[in-house]
This record gives sequence, structure tokens and C-alpha cells, in this order.
Amino acid sequence: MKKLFPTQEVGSLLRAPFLKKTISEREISETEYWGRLLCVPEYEKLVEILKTGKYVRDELYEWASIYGLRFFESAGLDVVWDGEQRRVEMYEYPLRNIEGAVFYGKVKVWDVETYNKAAIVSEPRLLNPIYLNEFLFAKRFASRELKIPVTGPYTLADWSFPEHHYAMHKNVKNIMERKRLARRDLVLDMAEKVLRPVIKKLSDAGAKRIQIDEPAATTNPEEMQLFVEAFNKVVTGIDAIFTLHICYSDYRRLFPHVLEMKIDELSIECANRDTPYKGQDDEKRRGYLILKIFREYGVKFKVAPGVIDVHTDFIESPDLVSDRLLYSAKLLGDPSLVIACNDCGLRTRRWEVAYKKELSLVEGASLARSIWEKQ
Amino acid sequence: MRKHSRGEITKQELLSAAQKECREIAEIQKKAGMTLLIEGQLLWHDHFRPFSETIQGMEPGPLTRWFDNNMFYKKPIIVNELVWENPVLINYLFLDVVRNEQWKIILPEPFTFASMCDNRYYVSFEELVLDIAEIIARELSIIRSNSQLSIAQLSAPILAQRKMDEDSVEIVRQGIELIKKSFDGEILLHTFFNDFSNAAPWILDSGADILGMDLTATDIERLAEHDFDRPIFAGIVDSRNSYVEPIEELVNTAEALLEVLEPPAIHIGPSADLDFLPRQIADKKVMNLGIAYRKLVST
Repeated sequence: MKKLFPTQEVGSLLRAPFLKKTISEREISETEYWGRLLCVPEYEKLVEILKTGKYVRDELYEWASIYGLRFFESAGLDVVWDGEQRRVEMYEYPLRNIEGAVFYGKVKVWDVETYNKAAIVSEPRLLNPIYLNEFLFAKRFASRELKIPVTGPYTLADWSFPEHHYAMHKNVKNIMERKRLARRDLVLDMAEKVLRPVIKKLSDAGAKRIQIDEPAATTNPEEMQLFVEAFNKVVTGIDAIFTLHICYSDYRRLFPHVLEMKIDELSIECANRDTPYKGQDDEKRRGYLILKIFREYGVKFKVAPGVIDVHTDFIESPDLVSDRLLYSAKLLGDPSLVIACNDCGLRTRRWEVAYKKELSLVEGASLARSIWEKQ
Repeated sequence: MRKHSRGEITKQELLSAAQKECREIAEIQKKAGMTLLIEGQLLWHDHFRPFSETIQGMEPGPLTRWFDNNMFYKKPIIVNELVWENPVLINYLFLDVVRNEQWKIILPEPFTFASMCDNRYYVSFEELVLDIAEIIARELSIIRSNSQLSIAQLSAPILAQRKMDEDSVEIVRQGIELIKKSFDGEILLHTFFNDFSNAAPWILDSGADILGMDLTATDIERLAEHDFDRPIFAGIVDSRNSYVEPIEELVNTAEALLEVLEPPAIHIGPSADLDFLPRQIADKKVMNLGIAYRKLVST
């Protein structure tokens, strides 16, 4: 029997202390602390080069990737990534490698969080094999199974201004129709001309698990079919386990469309909308009620309902994590469908908070496993 | 604000920086020739936060998508009867920035506000809407007595999202009526992101003084059959598209609206909040809007 409630991370982690613009004694001390705690091989060498100041930036990114991998490995997760240490964030990083993307400036996402929004001013074309080098590097140093996160075509398109495609439809008089056509063309271009080649290269390089991040998936209910079409264009015929990650969304909108998608796992955010109280009833576990719909539709893929809220410093206890997992298993009617996971990437949390959360994730999954097996 | 959230600057430093930014925003509007300013509302994380952080009975909840945008708000959770004790918004605004100006404030329309909450207390949705309306009415009254607030724009995308039943329409009307009892400025009911025709014809009789429509989402031909007896606010500048509308295009859109709907007056502006756009694009759009306005007035 396969391990119940396997643990996975979702992607990002705050950048390692030594990736800050200026490195003072404080950053060096933190590098040493985390190197020792995470058992990073030969971390003393990094500390030494930081002290001398003789290093190149790329070298630090490699170290950061190793620190990120060890962060999740030492916390005990089954499936890991390097915390996206080389990426500025999930949207800007890939778009910097796409011809036709021009950045216009920051726009708000929520509270103080922003992103650098781009316009697509010509047909998008892949300039570099995005993600490939980081995957090859991580593969050399990881001791656990890897899952590489990649931003999906729908989200890249939805978060951009479709200027080129809007201009292509200048003869369409109705502004709503013109927008619709521009969006459709851009989404499909991103799928065929950008993401598909990227995923193919990753697979050829040995990536067995690929997570496609599509937080924008349910933004426009009338475009759900388009979202599915684009996703399937990217993954069809590629031999890998595909996880679809969607967060802070209305998951009801996924149905029935999601049933047509070529996915093995679906990762969603639930802890954000849950209560912090222990228990396995509908009221305390309100954040997971959405799983009832999953069962109604008889989903065949595995589900990773986030059991760790990545936007608070509240440390979920292992008991709370366990309750959330057991309740999810009950709603889905099958514990083998449930993966223990964070709501989303941990980029907004400090490492000490993120690490405690990951320790709780692992311990809580273990607790849930033993409780379920005794039942 | 990011620096403040990370503890890198003090609250006072944050306020000082935000006030400076609000002044700059006001200056750009004046330079563009806007006849009615906005304060910028930079201290508001989202439309509901000043209320959910302050009003008894309400608290900020989970991050939730703001309609069809890559923007999120903290869904207010209603945990008890709403109690207004002290002025709220005055602490979230820099009134000195607009002290000597005609200006408008942007607040959530009560029915929309209530619809965007997680209501765990009120048995009656109508009661929740009216309690929210009462709070908004009090706030508007205080702000008006402290400044030259001319218009309260009530943001109401929910009202045009789909056709509403008669009971819901009645609740919307009651909310607006309640606000108008204590606020003697004008009420602009703005239905952005959605096709205004979904709210027609009942919205013509909603009690609002000005009816706001998002022309990037509304087909005005479908409104031709209705009799517009009050001013329209026309969102002719797309606040979610980097395409900077040429001045002629803005003028043509406004003129077409005047011709088809024949309202007694129109106000022109962006379709929704401008924080969906990078600042440089937003500024260009505001400048073009000002020029388009002057052209329209001169003709």
C-alpha cells in the first residue's frame, strides 16, 4: 500500500538570507545558522566566501537552490523543490525569457503585494529554455523526489496586457468581443509557443513531476473551456505526473471542466478559509467543504487541499493539520486521494516561520496516517 | 506600505509618505483638468478594510478574489451585530489633500458590501444591508461636514452581474434611501466590470442621482429603449487595459452615448479603480481624459 497523506511543498520560499542586496554580519550569521540546522553540505565554504566578499551572483543562486532543497528535505517532506530561489516571482521570471513581453510597472495584487505587469507587444516567443537549468541543478543535489513548478499559459496571459493580440483584432468594433478574441489568442499562443516547448524540454531532461501553477484559472468563468484547452495542449503526450495548482479561487467554477483535464493531482488552497480550531466537523473545517463537490463529481485525480496557511505567522499544530487531512479524506471518501500540502508558496513568510509550518505539516501528516490506519 | 508591514518604517513615516503620494495624485488630476478629484484612498488595502478593521461585529477574513481580477480583498466576516461607535474613514483619508476641492469618495454600495461578506450573524440579509447603509450614511455625513465632498460613488458591480429579483432590488433602494437621508451630496451608483443593461430598467429608479456604467463592458445600443432622466457617469477609459485610448476615441464614445441615451448630463471617467494599471499608464489615461473632456465641453 502506498504511503497515505504524502507531503509536498507548493513552490516558493523567501529568498535565502545571502541573496539580499547587501550582505552584512547578520546575513552571514543567518547563513551559518540555517546551513547548520538544515545540514547543508559544506555550508562553511559559503560562509567563508561571504566573509571575504569574493563571489559572483550565480554562485550564490546555486547555494540558495541547495539551501532551498535542504529546507524542505530536512523538514521531512516527501516531494520537494528549491523554493524557487532563482526566480524573482512566478510571473516576471518566465516573462523575462519571452520575446514580446515589455514590463510596464507594478500593480497591486492584495494589501502591499504587487507584481510587475507586462504587455505582450508582439507574438510571444521563447528566448531561453526557462526552468531547465534550475531543474538540472536541483536534480544533482536533491535527495528526495522533485516536483518543478511552472507558471501556466492561462495565468501568464491573464496577468498580461494583450496589446499585440488586441491590435490584431482592430477591425472588431465591439470592444467586449475584441477583448475576448485577443485574450483567447494570447492564451493559446502562450500554451503552444511558450509552455509546451518548456515542458517538453523539462520532460526530456528527466522531470518526472511537473506542477503547473494556474492561480488565474477560475478568474473568468466564461473562459473555463479555454483554460482547459490551453492546459491540455501543453501536457498532452508528455510522460510526467502533472499537478495543477490553483489558489485563492472559487473552485466551484472548475466543475465539470476540470474532469476533462489531463492532470494527476490538483493542489488548492483551503487553510486560508478554514478556522484554526481543532475538530473534524463542518463548522470547524469550513475551509474544506468544497471537497464535497469533488466527491459529487467522482474525481479520479488526487487532491492536495492546503492544510498550511501561507499568509499568516500562525503555526498550525500537528493536531490541526491531522484534523484537516482526516476531514478531507472523509469528504473525498478515500484517504489515498489526499496529499498533505501548503496552501501556496511560502514566499511571504520568514524562514523561521515557514520551517515550523513545514515541520508541522510533516508531523501532522504522520499523525493523520497513524490515526487512519488504526481506524 | 510594504516597508511598514516589514517593520522597516514607523507608522508616522508611512503616513507621511502616503500623504505625499496622495498630494501628487491630486496634482496630476488638477493638471489633467479633472473637475472632481479623488483623494486616492491609498491607506485602504481594499474597499472594505477600513470597516472590517474597525466596526464592531465585523472582522477581516480570508483573501478572496475581487471579481475577475488578479486582485484580492479580505472578505469581511460578520460575527455579530454591526455597531458604529466612532468615525472610521476620517482616519483613513488625508482630507487636507482635498480640503479646498470638489471631490468624490468611493465606497462600497451596501447591497454589494453585504454580498461580498461572509455573514455568520444576521438572519435577515436585508437587515445586514441596512446596518451597513447606516454606517456608510454616518461616515459620509461626517466627511461632508469636514470637506467639500460633492459625490459619494457607491461601487456596485454586483448589481449588474446578473438580473436581480424584485426583493433584492427593493433592498438596494432602501439602502440608498437610508444613505440619502443623512448625506445631502449626490449619490453615484457605479456598476463597473459588468453590463449595465443587466441592472436596467430598475436601476433608473434606484434613488441614485447619477448612474454609473462601465462602457468597456456595456453595449449602449441595448440601453437605447430606456429613458435616462438623470445624469450618467460613463466609464469610457478602460481601467484594466494598457491600451491608452486616443483622445478622439474618448470623445467619440462620449458623443455616441449622448446621442443614443440622451441623458440630461454625463460625467466621464475611468471604468473602475485605476490601481489595476501601472502608474505611468494610469497617468497617461487621466491626461487624455482631461483633454477629451475639454474637447467635449467646447463642442
